[in-house]
Amino acid sequence: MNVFKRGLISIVRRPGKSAILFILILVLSNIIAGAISVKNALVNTENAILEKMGVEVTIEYNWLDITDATPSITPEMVETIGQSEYVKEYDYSTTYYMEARGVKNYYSDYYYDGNGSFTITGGRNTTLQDVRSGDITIKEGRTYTREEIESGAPVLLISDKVAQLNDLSVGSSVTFLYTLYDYSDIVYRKYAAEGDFDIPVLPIEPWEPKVIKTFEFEFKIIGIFSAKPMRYTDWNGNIVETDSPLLNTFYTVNKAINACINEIRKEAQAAGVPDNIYINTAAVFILKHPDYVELFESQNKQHLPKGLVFKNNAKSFESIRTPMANVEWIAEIVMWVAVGATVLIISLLVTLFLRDRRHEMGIYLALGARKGAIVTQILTEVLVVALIAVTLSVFTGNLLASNMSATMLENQLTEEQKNETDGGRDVIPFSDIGISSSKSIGILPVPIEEEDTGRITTEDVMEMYKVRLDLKTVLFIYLIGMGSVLISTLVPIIYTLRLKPRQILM
Amino acid sequence: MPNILSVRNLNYYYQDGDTRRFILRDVSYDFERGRFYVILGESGSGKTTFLSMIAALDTPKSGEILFEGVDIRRIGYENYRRNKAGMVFQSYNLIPYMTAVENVLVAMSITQNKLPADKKETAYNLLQYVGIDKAKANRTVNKLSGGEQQRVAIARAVATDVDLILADEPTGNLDEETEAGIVEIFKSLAHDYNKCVIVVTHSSEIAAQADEVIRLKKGVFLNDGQFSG
Repeated sequence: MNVFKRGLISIVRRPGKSAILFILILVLSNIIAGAISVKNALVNTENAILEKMGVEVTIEYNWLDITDATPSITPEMVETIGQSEYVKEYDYSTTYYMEARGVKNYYSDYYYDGNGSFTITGGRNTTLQDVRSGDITIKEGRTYTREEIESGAPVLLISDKVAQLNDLSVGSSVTFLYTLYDYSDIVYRKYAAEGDFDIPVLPIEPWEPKVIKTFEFEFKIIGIFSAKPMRYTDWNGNIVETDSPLLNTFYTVNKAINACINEIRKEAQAAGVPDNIYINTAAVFILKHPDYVELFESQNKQHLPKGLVFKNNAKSFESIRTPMANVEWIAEIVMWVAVGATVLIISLLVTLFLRDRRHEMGIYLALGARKGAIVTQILTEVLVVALIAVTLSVFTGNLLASNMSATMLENQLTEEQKNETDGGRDVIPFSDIGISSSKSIGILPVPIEEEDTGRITTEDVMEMYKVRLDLKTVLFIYLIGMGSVLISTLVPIIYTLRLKPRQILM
Repeated sequence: MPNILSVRNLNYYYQDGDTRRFILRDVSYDFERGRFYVILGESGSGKTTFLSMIAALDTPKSGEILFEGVDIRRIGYENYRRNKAGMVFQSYNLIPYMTAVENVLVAMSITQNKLPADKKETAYNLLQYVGIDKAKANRTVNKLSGGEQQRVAIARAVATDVDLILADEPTGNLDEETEAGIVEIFKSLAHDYNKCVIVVTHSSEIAAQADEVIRLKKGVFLNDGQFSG
């Protein structure tokens, strides 16, 4: 009959005491498991927000500082800044506006052009910025490959609404049209305006400009995306949901757009007419950590010409981090208090139980059992019970923590939001997180409160906040739970075993 | 016959400030196999302390205890208890939630002495020898009477195949009839199985049946070897 069998006999033959020990360890390890789960969930959520939304720094125009020509955001500038050690990844996109032959726009809640013209947004990463930010989700097909980015392949991703409306699918082709006109022959009627200026209003004749060339650019659809509806609070405080402005956006690679534009410009130059092409370039830099924002901006402002400035969303990120840090702090305190309580209470309980078992330990000593064997037997008894209790608590603690901490975090976030609103801000506090490059460039029609729509709301954070059981969490719960029980059992056993058998038995 | 156990100048005392209160003073004696010894003494005479020393449950302040000529400190107290001596206590000291046979098996699993392969059968046989049948052997010990528990304790002591059986007031909690049965077992172990049985008691009835009686008074052996009532 080895020590393990003796330990198991002890558990089974003393069910009352085993049950008390089990219940106590279960309760305490639930608290520990819950606290660990909450802490890990918060860390995971913060990482998820960082991962998904990132801490974004964009390049924006400072119109007050622009007196002459509007400065351009060039790919070279973006590439240089993107090499900073603080940057996790970066992206820039060239956006242009072209008509697609035979393709109708989707009538969105607030926007309908009706002329079959679409925003074409380019990218340089295999993961689209708007996919990463959660604004769009690939529904069918794929995004572009590295090879397609490098070669400038004419590939396209379109929204499911536009695809459905126009009976388009992955593999279909879309032809973009651009007509280069010569306006030089048109004579405008001139009205004398107040002051010294003559303002051209209507052409006299010819009525139509001369067509130099109509370009056709054929793109192949490789993916179809769905766009997340936007929610915002209107002036009356009602939450309003609208279609995404990205529904009429086509995504391709930067080089494909540039190839089209270069061809048009070349032709315009040959014909000696202005091309009238104004492309927008937006750049976004995702930093490794919100704390790097200031360092990054001071390091790279030298690369921006006058009129361009960095804009970041770090401050708004703090609005999320603060309540999360509060809950994380509470979870940490609860965990260590629970660990302390576990060590103390289990120690006292085991000491109490060992008073009964003290005699038994004396018997084993009198029979010549090794102290190590006695320790092993008692530890087997306690740890087998603890193992079952901790295993159960991994799930129950997780379940409890999930419900309780979610409420706690939601309250904290709401409170933080209320504080910021009370503090003079009239917009939702999580200001800029999630605004995609295509939305931030300002060429899309903007709803009244567009700024609000791109922000992370309490609901978004709560959606991301999931108390999950990952391997790291489970291992940590076992480590802390079983470790606490082990220490609290060893101490009273060693205290008893230091005695001579006679002191125990006679 | 060679001595199985010898004690030489054994001393045990409690330090009380600057003075020493002696429990055992300069005790020496030799014990042989095949004999049933009784150490007789009044309460506080030091007989239980003496038994604790030779059972290695406690350590003397000075002096030697030799088992087959080897100091038990060299054998190792734990090793000595495990493989050389079996102990029977007044209060039985059985593990209460285990059955009689499991109590015997525990001792058999601890010793390093060579035992028959079928330990469980051996344990049943030993229990049968001390008067515990198989049905009782399978009961948890707290469902047995005091006399039966003491028989289980004796079976446990001899189960490790040791030659030295030590008993501290083994019949102290038992009636006369049961006491007689227990004493018979001790005598049988000494005489039929060539064990050295040392029993500490204040019972003159048990002493009357011993091969040798050692009187202990105020920590000193008055060993005439004869019991005179």
